[in-house]
Amino acid sequence: MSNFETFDHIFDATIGLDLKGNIVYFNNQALIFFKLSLRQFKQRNRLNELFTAKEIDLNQWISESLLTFSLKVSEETHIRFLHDETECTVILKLIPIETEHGNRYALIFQDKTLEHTLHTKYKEQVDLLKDTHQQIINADKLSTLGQLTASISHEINNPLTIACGHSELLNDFINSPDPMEHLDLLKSTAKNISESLERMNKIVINMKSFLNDQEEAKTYCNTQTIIENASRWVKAQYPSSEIEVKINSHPNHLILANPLKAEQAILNLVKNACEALMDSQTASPRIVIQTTIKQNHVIVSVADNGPGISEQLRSELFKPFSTNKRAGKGTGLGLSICSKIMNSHKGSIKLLDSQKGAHFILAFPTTEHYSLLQSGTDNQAKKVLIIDNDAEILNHFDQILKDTQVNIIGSGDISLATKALNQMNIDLVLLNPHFSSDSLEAIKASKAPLIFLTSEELKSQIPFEGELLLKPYSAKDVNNIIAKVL
Amino acid sequence: MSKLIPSMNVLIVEDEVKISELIRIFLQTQFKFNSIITAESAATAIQKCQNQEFDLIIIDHIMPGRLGLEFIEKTKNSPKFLNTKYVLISGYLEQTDVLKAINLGVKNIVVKPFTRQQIVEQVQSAISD
Repeated sequence: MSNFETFDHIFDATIGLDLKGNIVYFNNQALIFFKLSLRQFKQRNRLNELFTAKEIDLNQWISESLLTFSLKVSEETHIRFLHDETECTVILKLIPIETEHGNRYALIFQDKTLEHTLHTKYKEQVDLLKDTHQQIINADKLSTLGQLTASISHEINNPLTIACGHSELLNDFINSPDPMEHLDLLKSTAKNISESLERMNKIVINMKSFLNDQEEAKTYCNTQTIIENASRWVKAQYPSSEIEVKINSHPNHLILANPLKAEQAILNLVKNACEALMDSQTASPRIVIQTTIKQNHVIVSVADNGPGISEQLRSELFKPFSTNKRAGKGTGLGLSICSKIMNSHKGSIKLLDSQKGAHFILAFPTTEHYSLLQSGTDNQAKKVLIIDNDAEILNHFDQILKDTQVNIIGSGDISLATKALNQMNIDLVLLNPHFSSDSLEAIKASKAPLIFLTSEELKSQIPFEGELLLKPYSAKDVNNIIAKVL
Repeated sequence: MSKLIPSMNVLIVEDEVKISELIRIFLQTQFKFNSIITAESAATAIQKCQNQEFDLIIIDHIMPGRLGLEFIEKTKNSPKFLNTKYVLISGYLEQTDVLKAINLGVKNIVVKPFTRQQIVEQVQSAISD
């Protein structure tokens, strides 16, 4: 047997109710909570004279408990006080108790207004921070763009000068008494103009994709080409420095990536290495970039022999604004952008422990593994494995087959392709047969139908029986032969 | 009409060969210089200047290695270049570059992309100064 006095000292507002819903008790906290005087509270006999609840039907909620005489806890709900129209957020608890006057209920108001307000505020702040972070990343992009303006102006103004100048010359030739006399000059002038326009077009396309926020479609890219571009950048940026860039890459190491983004990720690492080497004036500065295949990933490793990265910075490294560089030298966003790029490629970035200098690795899924990660969304589609280490050829097939019911899995490396053949149900293999004959045997052993990619001149060298698809692999030929074999 | 200026030797320093060729053609249609030599970098230009004196140097600003303005700064005060006129070409000049050019006494600047008329006018102005 207990009574309501137990609730006198608790810190939550509590109201006692009899089985008919009449208020028979309230504690001091209830006066404070409802902002009513003792006299005012006493004038109210029922809950609906005190407040209304927004999310729950109070009468029904209470009567459900009356039937079973059991404890009941509400979800977070808003209640509105009748006398001053203010609102607060509460969790309601209805506790059945047996008193000397019979069965009663204690209704406890757990005030969540403060937590609720704090949570809303916190959420707002987090959103604001997220926005600001994005804005800063964009600003960094713009500032990079600002730095690029000089080189872009230079880049674009040169072909523009050539095109404009040669069109003036073209005009001269055409207006001369005998234009045909200058036929060779006319031809070379026209060629200079079109080449310059093409060059400008490429610059504009590159710019656009730099500014474009949307995730662009991924294409087959050769890591070797990307790395060579990055090393060219070092030579252009530090022409007089002694930084030696050693590249150890493999022409078969293809990835599915946005080539500009992948290049940006590698370039950011190379840039950091260069800056660290220049700032520290390291003797015989060296950057080693190499690619290897490890656990379904193409690993691009960038190592330098500079001062390395302090223990303190290591843990914060991939967060925005962490920088080793002197004030004003870097924004500290390079590595966080790298990390973002790697995420969008289903890959990762890691700093390795090294005795000397900094050693980063970027892990891109191999093209085969990427396809495996992607598959599952469309099990109906036929899977065609295309084996050729020329990324352009794979992109050509991708382009032709993208709107068809065929999923292509491109592969630049025959041993990775063999592995993919064993892991996935491949319906057809298109193969450039100019790999070693041992590895070709493994492909043949898989029993998947085979089409050889070859040319008129080389077709006599095909080692086994099989359908032939001849260069230049026109869309019509490709679709026909695939339809025939599948 | 071509203007005959037989005594003048001209050096064009520009890393983009097609542009230096274009300038050469433009100049040839308007002037008759004694010689027009081209160089692809400031370093090559300095070598060429060791064997020959030039009356007019048309130089691009942004080139790999040494910049055009640095070349002017380096050569301008040496006795060999006392009578040399300079025309600076660039696709992109910062305000500070323009001030530097003025301080170096370079009055003739051509901004890429340029027309035949623009380059001819600046060259004319430089050599008649």
